[in-house]
Amino acid sequence: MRLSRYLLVAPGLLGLAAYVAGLLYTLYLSMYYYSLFRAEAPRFVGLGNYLAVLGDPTFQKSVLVTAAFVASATVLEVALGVLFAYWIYISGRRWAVPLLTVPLLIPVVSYVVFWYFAVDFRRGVFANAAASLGLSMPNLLGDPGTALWAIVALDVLQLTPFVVLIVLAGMLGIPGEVLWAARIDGARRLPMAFKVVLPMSMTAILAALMLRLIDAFRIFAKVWLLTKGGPGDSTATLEVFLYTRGIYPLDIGTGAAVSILIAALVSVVAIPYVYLVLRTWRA
Amino acid sequence: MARLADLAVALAAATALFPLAVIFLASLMPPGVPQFPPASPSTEGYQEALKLGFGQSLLNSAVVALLTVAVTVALSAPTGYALARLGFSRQTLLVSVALVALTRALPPSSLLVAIYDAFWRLNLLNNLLGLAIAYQVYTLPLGLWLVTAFAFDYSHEVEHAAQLDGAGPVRRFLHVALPMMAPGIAATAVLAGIEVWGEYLYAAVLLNSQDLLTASVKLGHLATSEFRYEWGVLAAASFLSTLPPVAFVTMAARTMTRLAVAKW
Repeated sequence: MRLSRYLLVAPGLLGLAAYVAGLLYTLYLSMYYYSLFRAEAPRFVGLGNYLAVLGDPTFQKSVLVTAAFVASATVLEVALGVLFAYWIYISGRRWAVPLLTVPLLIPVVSYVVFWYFAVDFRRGVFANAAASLGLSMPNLLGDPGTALWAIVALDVLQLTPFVVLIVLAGMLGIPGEVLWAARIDGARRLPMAFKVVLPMSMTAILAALMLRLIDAFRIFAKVWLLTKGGPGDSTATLEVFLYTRGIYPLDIGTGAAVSILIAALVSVVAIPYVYLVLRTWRA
Repeated sequence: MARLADLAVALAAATALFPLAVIFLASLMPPGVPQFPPASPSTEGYQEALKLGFGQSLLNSAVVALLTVAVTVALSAPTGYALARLGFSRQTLLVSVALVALTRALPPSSLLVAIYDAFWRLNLLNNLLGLAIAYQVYTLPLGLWLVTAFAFDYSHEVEHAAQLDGAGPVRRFLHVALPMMAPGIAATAVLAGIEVWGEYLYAAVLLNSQDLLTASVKLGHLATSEFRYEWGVLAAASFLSTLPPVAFVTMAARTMTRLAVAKW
């Protein structure tokens, strides 16, 4: 009886243990000079890989690029997401909800293809429209000043609905009595929004914010396929750095050090997220 | 105000569907005619995409997604059930939940180098089963998360009766819990499948033979190759790779409703 209980609980927990073992193995690899391209044996270098990576201007730039991407994409997605969730909530147009899941089902590469097609400055959809108005389309992806923003725009286009869905679920969970009481007290629309609906869906908004932050750090496919991190290194995010410096040249030691640094950076958001989750489970 | 809200809802729905609509229309563009929307729709884009081996890539994606989901369900169903129902202490539960939340929050890229190195030694690189095992980094935390939540939800009475009849934990799991959690497990499978269907980074790193590439990687290759401006071909391949997840959600929604109806 007792044994079978542990037998049932084991498989998933062993999987999680393998995950943790993988992190520890990464930590171990990060302290070696070790390349799969060379025949020489791994050589212990302590914190050498970390010092080399942290001192690399390309890495520093990638931290800034990632921070700019994460901050702007998350702020725009959460702000627009809350606004649209509120509009759907007060208009009662629930038919829109299933449609909003569509962008989340479409593979990211398909969105990239769509974006090529939309913003290509010679033959894209917007370029044709601009040409018929006598304007010319700027080369958004080819200009180091705008390339990152073109990628942010695509991310906002695809992932704002995710925020809408979570926040709307939170708003729909507000008990009807509360709204009634506020209405009887004479609350008008705007005070109702700011004093009742938004505060009461704050947990959902916070959860959406954290999930978007966590996910925005993982920006790779959109950047890699649209710009390869260019022009120059103007869109090279942390995961692009990991790919070009660690994985592509099979430099396992450097790659492992970058992985650990990325994980440490994400922990700034991940740990408050774990705390939020535990708080809701404890209740 | 209400009108503004209506307008905003319509706008949200339109922007959600716009990319898919553009991709579909573009997929009908005949080669060499850069006119959008196409005046004379043709299916040549689809034929060309299949000729380039995109059918094989779709099949590879399907195989990987099915293997991934099978492993995830096999690992997370018993554990989720046991954590919710077999009287483990509150502390065990909270530690497990914290670990699941943490592994969901850390980026999968953090484990990619370690997995690459391990797969290099184990000869699992460039192998669809290997990719499915690596994908557990994405789907196992998700699966445990959802199954545990579902296991808390269903009614205790039937299980209690089975327990009084002398059924042990394993029999209760197989004969009572699994059937009752079936809709939840189906939903978990669908969500996990969607999560890995469009995945790019792991698939691009861990596979390299042309005939093993998943649809996302193949499409990425096409989009950065000389087919960059063959909108018809690119869009056709994109549209084909959006169909399975959309179909799956619709199908699963139907199964889930049927199961819910059958229960009453």
